[in-house]
Order: sequence, then structure tokens, then C-alpha cells
Amino acid sequence: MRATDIPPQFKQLLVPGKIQHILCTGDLCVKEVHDYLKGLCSDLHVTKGEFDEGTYPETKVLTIGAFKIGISHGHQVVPWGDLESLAMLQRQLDVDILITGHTHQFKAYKYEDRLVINPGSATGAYSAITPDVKPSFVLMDIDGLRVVSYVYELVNGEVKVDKIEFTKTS
Amino acid sequence: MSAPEATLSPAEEQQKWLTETTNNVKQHAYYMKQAIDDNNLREALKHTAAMLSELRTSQLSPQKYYALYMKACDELLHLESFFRELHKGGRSIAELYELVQHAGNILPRMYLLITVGSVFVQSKDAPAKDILKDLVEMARGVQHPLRGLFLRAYLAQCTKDKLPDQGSEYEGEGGDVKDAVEFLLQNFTEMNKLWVRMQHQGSPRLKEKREKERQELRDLVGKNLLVLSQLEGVDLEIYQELVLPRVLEQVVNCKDEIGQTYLMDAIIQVFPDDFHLNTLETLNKALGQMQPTVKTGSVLASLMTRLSRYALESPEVIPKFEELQAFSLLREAVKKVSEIQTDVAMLDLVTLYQALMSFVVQVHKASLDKVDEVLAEAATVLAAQNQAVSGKAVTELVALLSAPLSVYDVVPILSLQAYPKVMELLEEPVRKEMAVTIVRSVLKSNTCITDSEKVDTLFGFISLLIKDDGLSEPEDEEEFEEQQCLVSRLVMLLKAPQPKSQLAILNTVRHHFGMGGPLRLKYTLPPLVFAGLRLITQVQKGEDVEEGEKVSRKTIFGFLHQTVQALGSNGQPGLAMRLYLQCAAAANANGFEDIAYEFFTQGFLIYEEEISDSREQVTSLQLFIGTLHLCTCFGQENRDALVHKCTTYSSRLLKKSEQCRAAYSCSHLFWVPGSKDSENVALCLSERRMASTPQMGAQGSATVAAASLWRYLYFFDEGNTAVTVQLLQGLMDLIAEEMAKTQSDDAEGSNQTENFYASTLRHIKHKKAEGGEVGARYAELNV
Amino acid sequence: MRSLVWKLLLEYLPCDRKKWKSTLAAKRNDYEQFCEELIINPSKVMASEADSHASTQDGSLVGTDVTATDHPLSVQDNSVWKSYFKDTDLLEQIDRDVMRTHPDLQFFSGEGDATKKHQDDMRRALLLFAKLNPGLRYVQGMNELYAPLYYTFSLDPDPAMAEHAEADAFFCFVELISDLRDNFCQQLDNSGVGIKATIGKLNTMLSENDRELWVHLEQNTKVNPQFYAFRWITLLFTQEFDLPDLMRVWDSLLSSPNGRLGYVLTMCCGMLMTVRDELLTDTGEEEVPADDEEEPEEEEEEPEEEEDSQQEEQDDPPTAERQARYEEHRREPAEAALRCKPLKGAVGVLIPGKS
Repeated sequence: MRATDIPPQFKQLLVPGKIQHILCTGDLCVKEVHDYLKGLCSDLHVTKGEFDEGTYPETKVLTIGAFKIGISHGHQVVPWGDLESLAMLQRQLDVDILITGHTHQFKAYKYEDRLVINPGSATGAYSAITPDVKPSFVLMDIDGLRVVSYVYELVNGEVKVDKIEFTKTS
Repeated sequence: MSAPEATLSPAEEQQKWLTETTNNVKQHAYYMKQAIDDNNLREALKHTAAMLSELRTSQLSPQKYYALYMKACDELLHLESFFRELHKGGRSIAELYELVQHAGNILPRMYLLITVGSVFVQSKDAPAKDILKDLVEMARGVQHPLRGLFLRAYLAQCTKDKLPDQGSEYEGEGGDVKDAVEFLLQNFTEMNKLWVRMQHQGSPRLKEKREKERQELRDLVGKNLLVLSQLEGVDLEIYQELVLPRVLEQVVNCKDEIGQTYLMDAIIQVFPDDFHLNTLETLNKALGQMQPTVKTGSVLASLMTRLSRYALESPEVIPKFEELQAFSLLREAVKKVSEIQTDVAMLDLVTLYQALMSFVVQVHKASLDKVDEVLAEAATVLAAQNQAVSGKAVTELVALLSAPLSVYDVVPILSLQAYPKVMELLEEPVRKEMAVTIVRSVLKSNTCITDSEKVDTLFGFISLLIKDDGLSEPEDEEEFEEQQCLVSRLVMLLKAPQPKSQLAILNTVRHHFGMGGPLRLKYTLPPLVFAGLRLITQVQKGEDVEEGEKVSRKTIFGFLHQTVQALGSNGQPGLAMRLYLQCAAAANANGFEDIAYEFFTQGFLIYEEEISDSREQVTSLQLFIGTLHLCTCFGQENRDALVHKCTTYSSRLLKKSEQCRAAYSCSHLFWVPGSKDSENVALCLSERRMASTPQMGAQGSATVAAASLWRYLYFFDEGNTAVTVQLLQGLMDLIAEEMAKTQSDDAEGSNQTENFYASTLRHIKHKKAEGGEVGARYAELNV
Repeated sequence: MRSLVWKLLLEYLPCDRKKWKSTLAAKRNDYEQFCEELIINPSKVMASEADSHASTQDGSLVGTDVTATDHPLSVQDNSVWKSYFKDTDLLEQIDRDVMRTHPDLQFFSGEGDATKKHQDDMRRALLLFAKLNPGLRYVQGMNELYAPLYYTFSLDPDPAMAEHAEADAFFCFVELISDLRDNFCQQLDNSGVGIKATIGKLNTMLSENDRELWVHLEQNTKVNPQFYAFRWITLLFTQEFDLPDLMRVWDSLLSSPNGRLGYVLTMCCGMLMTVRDELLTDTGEEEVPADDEEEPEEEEEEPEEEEDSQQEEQDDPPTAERQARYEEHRREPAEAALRCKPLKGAVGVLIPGKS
């Protein structure tokens, strides 16, 4: 309801067969986006966003390789986008990586020994919190105790990719 | 032939006769081949003639006769190569040509003659043109339609690679392409006459059967046209001057419905596109002279289809289309069909206009007015038929309407005034599908519609999707949802660059969406609200605003207020409440305290009156608190009032644990830049914790306490004076105590709490290790 | 003992005992090198030594721009990710086959770290083979040929040898397959050296040794030898015997003085002749029996332990007959057949599904 679709520049890159799990923090809203993601990879995990109806859970925890990963939309965590508060949720869920959204702005933090990521909004939808939303998503490559996050961001119509690395202390 | 023992069905009878005659053919052929092996010409001819006599039968249907004919033709190949051998051995072919004419009966004689004739042409002992002329004339001797048609088919077959075509080895002394054309035209003319004559023979009772048989034979006649089209030497000039006039003369004069329908179509199919393009006028004229029952419409339609494809595949010829005024010629022809022929089926008419439409969008891409002309004419003509468009005609009409969509962007389409009129011809469900197609193509093209008039037109096109149909629930829930989602996605593309025009667009959209009834508003209004919010951001930035395009943000907020309210009063209170908060955040960002306050007030009103589900209350409060925490625009008084609402509602939540969590969130409302209230923060945290303990059991209380510890630490870090080391120490002791009590019951839950607490302790150690001001403060804390 | 002898027979080890140590060291080193060069793990390539560091402003992590270098969705030709994803289909196919190699043996299949290691080793060796042999790549069934070698070498009593089973088996596998190479290659099917020609030789051999049986098969039952011999030959009997028995058969196969292919044909011929009486009573017109009825209930018996003579295999287990008969009737998709596609003409090659 806030944006028509994932930008074509992203769609061009995202092809089935490369991604094993999709984690989405919520506010998909449009069923077509849901179906699109499902088409990329059938293992799709979604939590409930601010505008979602239906039965998505508020939080979700899954284990991929050596990592425990938590997902939550993030509007439940006040102050919104506040790292200390997210870190608390992360410890409550007891996860190595916490993924949240809501602010529509990419951010990654290392908090003590854990990783907190906000992949931003893949559609670049309007946000009351962030004035100029740049569409973005994150792809994580998990290899042993190491996770390399690739941040795909649309800047002036071009895809920019940044790499962020993090090692779990076992 | 002996009488059948029992009564056989006609089909069995046919089969029986075929078997008999075929066996005879085989038998004679056997002797023929034996004679050939013995090099005995006389005997060979005798047996061949006997074999060919079988073709004189009148009993077989065209299909069975064809089978027999094929068998005989196969056998004749042996004879042909025998003749060739004889010629190699020094025998004069001219002499053979004479010799076979002694066969007693005309039909075997003609087959033999053609067989020798073919070797004769090959031998080049005489000019090809003379031999061909001789054969085609002599064949006149057979006037029985069926036998004559097959005989001439044999003639065409045997000679097709021996014509004095341009570039062929028989050219020159053997004649030129005109001789070849003459030969084929003559054969065609004769065959056509035979074919047409069939129609008029026999009892009128059997008309239907006869017509079926004629249809089965039509390709024999058409074969001549195919060979003609394959002649190298037939260029546009010869075609225009010689071939087409002669063929059309036959077609027109035969005054035969089956003949005309088939042959006109054959002409269109076998000759090249550029020939048609250059002879459009002639073709049109001929079409006008057809029998009234001939479906000239479908001929015209296939002509147009071919020409469109031609234009698509060879764009370089498009100027020629213009030069020859192809469009107006075709348009006239189409019009004539609909005018002259009174009982044209709806399907044929629609097909005709569909073909004309694809022609136009293919050939005259640049001139949209032509497209509109076609639409207008189609609308008038089809409406005048006074019958519903149904069955296959629907598909054709949808194709007609889709053709422009595949070629043009949506904006030009919106200028086609006749487009909705043609849509009107469709029944409602199909019209709705068409509307969906239009929406999809707009979304796919991803082009913005930048003025409100165009938006108005677009919504006119798709009004079926937008207007309330009075149903209390959709017939097909899923389909309805899909349609409404598509419509809602349109909003993003309705976008003027300048604020005032954009607001005009939003108002137009609002007007149309407003007619959708409660079922649709839920889908359509939220994107409109977000479009309004984006417009506010745009105005706020105030970049490059043109003269007269200024809009006050308050006006837009007014629009938003009214739109969200409509949602709220149409059965979507929850959604409206969340949107009010979005608006409040935007008003805050713009420094409009009163407006932000109003939005909050509206939100709280809904919360009080409509939100009764406790889960929903919890999440809603989180949004209120989160939004309010963002807001910096409020003066003390307003702020206090809103914070008070938050804390009050928090304390009224159903479960104690929920109350605590909400209170923890509320604590942040007392700790914003410029207004840091240590006492109230501490009050928020402690009051709740105290109140919580008894009802929740040890497990719950440990969890809540652990969460509160983290909150305390947050404010401890922040330097909140009310959060003292003693307080923290006391809390940690309490948690340890509670946890000790819980170990037995809920293992998983207590495990989680334990982990959480353990990592909180680790967090404290981290802080201690950090050093500096914070580290110093933590130093006193014992873990 | 067998582990050592096979290595010698497959000329992996030279005859000169003194050179063993250096040869093994060199080969194993090669193997390691191959693995490093050819089996790219883009995760390893992309990872740098250190974690990303936090920015001073708000403590969020600072990324390194890799737009132009490489990332998982890169479409550039030199992207290691791109080539990695190109291999995923191959890997999946290998993985599927590895997971169903000898499902009855704990060694290959089941839970546990040891089994997982064995599977990883096989996967790696087969992938490496596929990458080193782009013409042949990986063909279904190669797992069945690698498995006996790897199994034998892994059980070498000398732990220093067993430790390198993966690499040793790899080179022996290469040697073994080079003998049979032409039979795998689909392009050569109809050539003088392809599988059809090989089966033709078997046919000739049978006609010379047992004319009556040959005539019967050719004229009465009209069973295309491809239906049974195809699998015997390409999979070197791995589907016909239990692993312990098979190892015994391979002892003979590997040491055959007539060349391995010659031995394979003799063995096939023997397997047919052993069951000649039953084959001769079969008119080829029986009803196709229900699958489970025809399924061999008991495992094959051990072949007679005799000298390495070629006659030995003629006293072959009766199961082979059942098998042959069975395969005459049953034409189902080749699950483990050594082909991606069935032979033209042969409607897929048939597995009796031993267990």
C-alpha cells in the first residue's frame, strides 16, 4: 500500500536458486510481493508488520548453520530503532543475529558479541521515521562461524553493494 | 461387378469398391512391370492402359478416388522411367508421343500422353511450351468433373518442375515465363469450371453431400495457384497485369459461393505480401463483386492479418503502406462489408475490426487518431447490430481492445475517446477483466499519469473495478482482493511533478475511490493516504515549485484527515487509527503541533471506542507510545496530556505482564531530549514491577523483572539519577530469588529467562570493562 | 592387503616398493592442490580476515563497497559466486546420488560424524572428477564405482593409509574409469567403441560360446541385451552383488590378464550361461509379474571361490538369472543407471531395487 513493487533493478538480480532462506520482517502488504518472494525461494519466514493482517507471528527464531537468528518487525520496540532496546530484544530471544525493520533504513550494529541488522525496505516505501527511504535488502552468506552480509542499496537508480563481516565468538 | 451379398453401409460399399479397383490396378501394374522388365513396349502400354481404365470408375467418392489415383500415379512412375530408358536407348520420344495416342479410351490415353509428355519436355526434343499447350488443350477431352479434375491434377503435378520459368533449363527455346503462366492459368480455368460444374450436377437433394465433396477437392484447383506463386519469373508486374486479373476474372465469373470463398482465400494465402499491398484496390473491387453469401469479411480479415505481419516483419515497407493509402482502402472495404451484407454474423464483424485494429497499430503506430477512428467505427457498427457480443466474438473483441495496450503506453490510450464505447459492448464480467488488463498494463509500463483529467479518464475506463456494485460481499473473495490490490497499486503511478497538480490528482482519486463502498475503501484509501504523506514531504522540501503550484501543507493534512476518517467510519477503525498515527508523525516532522495533536486525539478516540481486543490493544499502544516518542513538536501541556493517555491506557491493559511492558515503553516518554524526568521514569518502572509480582507467578515475574532490569540499565547508562546502584542490586537479587523458585515448572520458559538474565549480566560486565565515565558508574555494581 | 593390491593393480602405486612413499606424497599433494584450485568456496574467497568495524558516529557497522568486485548476485563473468551457482546443479546431482549410495551400510548412509565425513569425501572427489573432466562431467552411477574403492581404502589397517582414502580412491577411480570411458560417453553410443559396440561384442561372445542360448535370446525372447548388460558393464556389477561379494569380483576384474573390459564381457557371458536352462524355458511371452514377486528375496550368494580363471564366473549365483529375467520384463526409469538419459532404443535401464 505504500509502494508498488520491488524495484526492477533488484528484481533483475534476484533469481531463484541462489537464496536458501528469505527472512522478512513484515509489512509485505501486497500478496504479489509475498508470491514473488516465495517464487525466489520457498523457505520464506515472515513476521507481522505494522500494517499486516493475518496470522504472522510477532517474532520468529530460526537456526541456520551455527547461527540463531531472530526476526521481528520492530515497531514493538520503543524507542523505535534504538540499539539498546533492540539489544534487549535480541537477548530475550537469545539469538546471535537480530533482524528488524520498521525504520526503512539500512543499519547494522555489532552489539557486544552479537549482530543487529535492519535491512531497510526493499521497496523503498514511505516511512514516517526516515525522510528519504532508499530501497535496500541484505543477503547473508553464512559460513561456519562467519557471516558476511551483503547490503544491496539502490542509490540514484544504481545498485550499490556493501559487504559487512561478522564472526561469532563461539 | 457382383451384387453385394448383404446390404452394406455406403462407407463399407465404398471401401469394397476401392479394394476391388485397387486390386485391379495392382494386378495390371504387375503385368506392366513384367513387360517393362522384358523391354516389351507394346505389352507395357497395353497393361498400363488397362490399369488406367480403372480410373474411369464413377462409383468412388472423391476421397476414395484420390486413394486409387495415388496408387495409379505411383505405378506410372515405373512407366515414366521406362520411357526415359527407351529415350536414352535412342528411341524417339516424339514417336512414343504419337504411339500412346492409339490407346482406345480417352482417359487412359490422356494419362499416358501426359506421362510421355513429361519425358518429352525433359528430352527437349521439342519446345516445352508447345508440348504443354498441346497437353492442356487435349485434356479438354475429359469433361467428367471428378475424372477431369484428377487428370489435370496429374498434369499439374508432372509438369510443375518442367515449366519454362525464368531461370529454368526449359526457358528460351522452350518458351518463357509467360508461357508457363498461360499454361497454368489455362489449367486452372478448366479445373475451376469442372469444379464449379459439380455443384450443378445431380439431384438437388444431394446438395449437401456434393458441397462436402467439393470442399474435399478444392486443393486440387488451388494447386495451380500455388505453382503459379512459386514461379520465379512472376514478378509484381506480371502478377498485376496478367495473373491476378485472369484469376479474379474466373473467380468473379464463376458466381459460385464455395469457389469464391476458397479461391479468394487461396489467393491471399499463396501470393506474397507485397503483391497484395500493391493490388489492394483490385482485390477490394473483386471482393465487392462476390456472391452475397460469400463471407468476404473473413477474406478481408486474413488479408489484413497478413499485411500486419508483413509490416511487423519488414518495417522498412511501412512508408509504402502510407503511399498506397492502404489504411483508407482497407477501412473502406471493412465498412462496405458491414454495410452491404445484411446478415453478417457478429463474430465476423468483430474479427474484421480486430484485424483492422491490429493492422492500424502495427502499420500506423504514430497516428493515434486512426486507432480512435477504428474504435469509433467499430463501436457504431457493432452497436447497430443490436445483439450481445458472446462466444468467440468476446475473445476477438478483447483482442481488439488489447491491441492498442500492447503497443502504446497508457497515457496515449487515455486519449482514445471511443475506447470506453467499445468496452461498453462487452458484458460486465468480461468488461471487468478488460479493466484488470488495463490496470495491469499501466502497472507494467510503469509510466506516471501526470494530470488529473487523465486520471479521471483512466478511472472512467476501469470504473467497474472502482464503483460500489452494491454487493455486501464479493462473489469471489480472492479475485476481488487481487483486483483491489491492483487498483491500489495504481496510486503510486498517479503522480504530477508539481504539488498543486498532485493534490488535484489525489482529490480526483479520492472522489472515485469514495464511490467504492466499504469493501473497497480498505484497499484503496491507505495508499492514497501514503501518497498524501509523500506529497507533504515534497512540499516540505519545497524544491522547484512553479508559480501557482504552491499548496499549503495544512490543506493536505485536511485531505488526509478527511480520508482517514472515511476509513474509520467505514468499518476499518484499526487501520484508520494506525494511519492517524502516521499522519501525526508527519505533522510533527512539519512542526504542526495542533494538527499532530488532533491526529493523536482521533487515534485515541478510536482506541477507546473501537479497539476491544486485548492483543490489539497491546500492539496499538506500542504504536501510540512509539509515535509519541518520536514527536518533538509538543508543548508541555499537550505533551503531558498525551503521555498521560499512554500511561493510563497502559495501566488498563488486561494482563499484568502486558501492563508492565507497556509501562516500560512509557518510561521512555519521560526521557526525551529537553525533558528528562528521572523521577517519573523510575516511577514508571518501579510502580509496575511492584504491582506485578503476586499474580504472575514466579516464572512470569522473573521474566518481567529481568526485562525491567534491562530498562533500568538503559537509564542508568543515561545518567538517570533515580536509578541507583542500590536499586539495581536489589532488583538483581530479586531476579535471582525468583529464578531459584521457578526451576521446576516451565523448563523452557525458565531456561529462556535464565539465558536472558545471564546475557544481561554479561552485558553489565561489558560495561564495567568499557571504562570511562560509564564504566566507573558500573564499577560499584556487583555481579 | 586388498587395499594395497588394488592400488598396485590400478597402477596407482609403482612396482618399485622404494618409490611408494614419494609417489603417494606427490599424488596426495596433487589432490589437495586440485581441491584448492577447483572447488571454490566463494564464502572463503570473499571473507577478509577482520570483522567490519563500527563507525564513530552512531556505532553502526561500516561496509566495504564491493559493487564492482564481487557479491552473491553478481552477473559479471569473473564472479566466483556466479561460477559457484553454475555448479550448484551438478553438486545437487552428486549429492543426491551420494546420499543413496549403499543405503544399507552404516559406512555410507546413516547418522554420525564418520558417515558424514565419508559422504563429504565422496562428494568432493566426484565433484573434482567432474570439474577435471569437462567432457564427461559427472554421470549418474559414478558414485557406485567410486564407493568400493573408497570403502576398501578407508578400511586399510594402516591408519596412515586409511587417512588418505579419499585421494587414493580418486586416482584409482580415474584409472578405472579411463578403461570404461567410452562406454559412458553418450556421443559415442553408436560408434565403434561406445556401449552399443561393447554389447555387440558380448553378443558375439555368447554366440560363440553358447549358440543355442544365443539363438534363443535373439529369436524367441528377442530381449535387447541392453536391458541387462548395459548396467552390468557400465556399473561393473556394483548393482548385482553385495559389497563384500562385489569386492571379490573386483579382485578378479582388476587383476584380469585379458584387460578389464575383456573380463567384464566374459563375466557377463558367464552370468547368462549360468542360468541358461531357465532362460531357455522362457518363451518371452509370460505375463509381467508383479514387482514384489519378482524381487529377489534373498541376497546374492557368494560366487565360488576359485582361482582367477575365467571359468569361475560361470558358476554364478542363481540370482543373476532372476535378475536377467526380471530385467527382461521390467523397464523402469533408470534410477541409478550410469546415464543421465537412457540409450536410444532402450526404454531406460532397470533397477531391480535390491533392498
